Amino acid sequence: MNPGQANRLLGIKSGADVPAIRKAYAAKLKALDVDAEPQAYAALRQARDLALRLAKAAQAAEAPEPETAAPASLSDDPAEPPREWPYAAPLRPDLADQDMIPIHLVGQAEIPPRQERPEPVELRLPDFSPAVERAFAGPPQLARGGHAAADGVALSRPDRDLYTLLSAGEDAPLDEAELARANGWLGQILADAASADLTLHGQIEGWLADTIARAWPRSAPLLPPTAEAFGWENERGQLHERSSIAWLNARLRGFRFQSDVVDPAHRFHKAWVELHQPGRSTVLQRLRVNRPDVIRLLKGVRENFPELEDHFDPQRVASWEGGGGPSISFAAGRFAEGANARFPMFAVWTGILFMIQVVRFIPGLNSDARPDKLDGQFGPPAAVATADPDYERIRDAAVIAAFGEGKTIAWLREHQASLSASFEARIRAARNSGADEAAAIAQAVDFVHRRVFLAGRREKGATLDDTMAVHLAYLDAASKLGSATCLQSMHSLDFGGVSIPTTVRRQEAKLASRLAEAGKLVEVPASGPSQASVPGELVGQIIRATGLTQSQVGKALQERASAEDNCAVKRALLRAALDWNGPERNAIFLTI
Amino acid sequence: MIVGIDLGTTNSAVAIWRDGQAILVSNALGDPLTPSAVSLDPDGKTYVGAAALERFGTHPNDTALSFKRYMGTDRTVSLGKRKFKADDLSALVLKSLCDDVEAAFGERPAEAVITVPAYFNDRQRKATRRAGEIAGLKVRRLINEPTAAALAFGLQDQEDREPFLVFDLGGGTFDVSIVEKFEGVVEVRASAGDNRLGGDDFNAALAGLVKPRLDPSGLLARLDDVKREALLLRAAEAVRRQLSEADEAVFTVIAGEERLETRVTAADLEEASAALIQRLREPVVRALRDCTFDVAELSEIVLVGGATRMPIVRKAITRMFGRFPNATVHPDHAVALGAAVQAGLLSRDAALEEIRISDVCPFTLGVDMIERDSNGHIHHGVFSPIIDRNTPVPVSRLSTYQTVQDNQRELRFNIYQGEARVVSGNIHLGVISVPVPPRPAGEITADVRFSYDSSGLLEVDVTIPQTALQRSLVIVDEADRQSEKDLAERRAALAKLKFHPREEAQNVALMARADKTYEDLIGDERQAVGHWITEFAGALESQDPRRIADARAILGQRLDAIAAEAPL
Repeated sequence: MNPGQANRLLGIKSGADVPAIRKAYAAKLKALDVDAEPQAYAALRQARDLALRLAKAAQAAEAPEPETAAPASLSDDPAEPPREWPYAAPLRPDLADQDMIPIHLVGQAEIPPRQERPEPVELRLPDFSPAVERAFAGPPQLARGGHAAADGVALSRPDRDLYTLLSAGEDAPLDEAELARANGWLGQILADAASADLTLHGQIEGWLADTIARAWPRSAPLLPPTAEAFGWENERGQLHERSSIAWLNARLRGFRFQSDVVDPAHRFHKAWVELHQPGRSTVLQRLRVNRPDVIRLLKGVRENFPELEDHFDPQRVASWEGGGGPSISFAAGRFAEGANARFPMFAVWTGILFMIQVVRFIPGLNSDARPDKLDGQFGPPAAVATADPDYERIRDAAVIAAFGEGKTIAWLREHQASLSASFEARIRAARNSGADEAAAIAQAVDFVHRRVFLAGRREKGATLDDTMAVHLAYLDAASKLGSATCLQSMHSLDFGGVSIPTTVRRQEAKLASRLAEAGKLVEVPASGPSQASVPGELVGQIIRATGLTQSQVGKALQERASAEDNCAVKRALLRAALDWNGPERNAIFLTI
Repeated sequence: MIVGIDLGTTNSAVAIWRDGQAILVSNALGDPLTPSAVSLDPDGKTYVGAAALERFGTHPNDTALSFKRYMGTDRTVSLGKRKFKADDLSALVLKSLCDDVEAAFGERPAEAVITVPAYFNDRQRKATRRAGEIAGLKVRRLINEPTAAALAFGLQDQEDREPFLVFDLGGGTFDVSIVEKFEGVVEVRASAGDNRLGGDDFNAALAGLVKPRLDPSGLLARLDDVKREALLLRAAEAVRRQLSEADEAVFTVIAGEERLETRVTAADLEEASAALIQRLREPVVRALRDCTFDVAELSEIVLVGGATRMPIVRKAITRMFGRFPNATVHPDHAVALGAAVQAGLLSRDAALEEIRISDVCPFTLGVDMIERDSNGHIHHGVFSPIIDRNTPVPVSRLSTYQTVQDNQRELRFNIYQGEARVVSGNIHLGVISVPVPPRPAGEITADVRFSYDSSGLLEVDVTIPQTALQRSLVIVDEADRQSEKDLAERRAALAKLKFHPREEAQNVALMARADKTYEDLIGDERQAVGHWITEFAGALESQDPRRIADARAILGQRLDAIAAEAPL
């Protein structure tokens, strides 16, 4: 439809203004039975929409410069929340100059429609530094309003700090201390977004999407909490998924896969490690890895997360893909045969038993910081001097609570500096969000508990046994508060509010100091769903301990039963496995 | 006569268009709102409305609430030994509303406009229409709830209105519509929603939060599941209502002879519902994005639905839009009044001659197809949209498809509704297939036409130009397929239910309330209420109208006094 046709259909002259178009449209509409003539109605609507668009464009061309102030009706009301995002962190200046992303343009009459935003893929230019230099040349704006007063950090600008941190250091991954700081700033920004109006919320969302995209892959660990806060994954696979978000969602899946696959229990772990080795592989080396797995991994990565292929050694990939075909497929065949040959033995061993698959429930374990509760989980900006007079006393008490009598922060720094930084960050964050002494200590101890559990279950022998025994005691304590608490603690590893017996705490402190001295309390990447077969011997013990039927136990092991049964069965499984020495023991522990 | 009916999750209401205005019709208890509740006693007597709601506390196994949530599903609800589908139960509520209209105007309505949540899918709409038919009503139009509310709001005066947003959070569903009014045309520009979010979810969240604190020793575990849930949800509902007025309330549950109590603050409710509040944002953003309006362009935020009374919801809205919402329409009445306006429009009432309403289809409709990508890979189950979401209705759109295999004998189109790029993420509405002559792949084409009418019902036509063969399908699901015979049977089954005579309605409701109060108390107070119930039953047996009226007044006052003491 061209403008002339539209005008004829509406019965208006060209150049008619908005009220005239509406009036003409309303008159035509009232003369039409839309239910009988849907096509005529569609044509009328189309004509009206076209005429309105042209009229508005003409109006905009004539109008003087749009006002930059917020509409009067909004700014005049003192009861209204502030509408302007105080952050003015830079986008790439050339883009900001073109008003592509309306960070400072709040309240202006015309905000460019979202669709016109360039895809971050195209925005990924490496030249962060000059832009940052120029934009931050002046003194920081003290415009953070209520927020600044609330956390007592007048000069903190989390957006600027985060941006600077991400743009420094090329593509190097963030180290633990940097990550704690980045998470702290991100937490503040997300908290601002949560209490913002829709416009501001949209701007913060856009700014974060853009910043994360441009600093990728350095910004990778910040993506999961951000995506969670803005519900980006709900958009995945939708017809109207925004292109910038689609790009990030694809990276997010890749990042999750990458975090999962580094777990030795992951199906493709061996193949993943193999493809990282430098140089061509020998036939002998190739025998050790299951060829179909490698091929499937390569195919899967290429189809789903193409950027991850950069991690692989190209020569290694080539040696798997081309040449040596026959011998390798022979090897693969043998490998499969071997697996089959073992099966009858296994079946004999389980002859009197039956097998139940255990599926571990993963949400909530992805990182120490749970994205649903951002407040207080993040460290504060490290650049800010702490004004908490009780801080050192609380910190020292927390070290003793977590690592046992006689341990000091100096000891912790000496053995595991990164852990000590995160540990202190937790306490500061807790204090900043208004926690009292006991609560701050409890949060720090909880943090250590999570680390101990995740690290300890990767150990062997006594350390593993101790870890599991302590964990069982925790679960027992949590189940006293009801099966929901038990199950939730099991999934989130958050035992806040659960009262743990002193003897257990003491046992754990010993374990923690042992692991810390060995430098093992590092952040363990989240592991994917792991599976184990529970032999009938243990199932029998679980049935005796819980009084449930076999099928109930089976369901509970797969977390398909009631919270009460799930909790009781998982605890009974852990208890039984601790006193048992079968081959599946470690795999079973990993499912807890 | 055409009536306008708001068939809600929690409450329903009926209104008519008369003498140039929409009028709400009160029920036998004098209340314009009839709880959407049905209860059955063992000898087959049926309770609808307030009496049924009271019986939820005392006879949870015989009582159904919030059945609107199961509309369009195969799920049945057991009342005692009998099973009902959601559309049967809704039909009972509709019947009761028609009784009220008949009592007030001496004429039984034959036709109705019934409202549905904008985000109700095709199956849910079909079920609603069926409920009307079971109740003996000809359903002239299904109209979206926020659209109805927009009509009620927009027709308050003659003025044109810049775009306003209707924020409709009811008992079970959440809708957002952006509406403009000019020259007498009320035009919906975009709608979005979540048909699984409402006041009931806040109740469940609150009950979940309070439960461990309320019952540390596990007393409630001894009750059967239905009873326990009923007690907790009812108490949660009461507490949630109180928290709309006060900062603190007491969450009370009587389990047998034990009284369990805990103090609940507004902050507790806020904590319990943080995740729900979060879910309010997305549909708003989606609707705004779809009609490319900015928040600043909205002239008003109009609140509709009982759950918008909650201070935490209002706070969230104020925060989202950076301004205070407009609460000038009655949140529980606006939808029924708007439906009555639509009824007036359909009967071409002279007072509405200059008014027109245009709505949109809030979701995308299309078919599945096979697609070949640039690498030659074949992808199955790709969703091919034919009608995009937020297209003005009525609408009729045509799309052309071709065969993918040589000598293909049949073209089968699965019809879907939803926003996912692959059909497995969408709702399957039906299937239509046409035979085609065997030819090389791509040589046979099919024209698929989707027609979506003003009630939100879809019709699909497939034409093969080469053979001039045409197939047509009004989207029907299994429930519709055996419809005529089945409907007649269900109508007959419902007709067999016994109802209390209308003049007894007040006595029945009061007795149900007294029974509930009895269960809510312990010790001496309970005994006293038991005594009053016996007295009242005695008065009823006497069949002396005067004595009954006196006894009713006394019992009512006594129950009010108790309710004032313990707010449950």
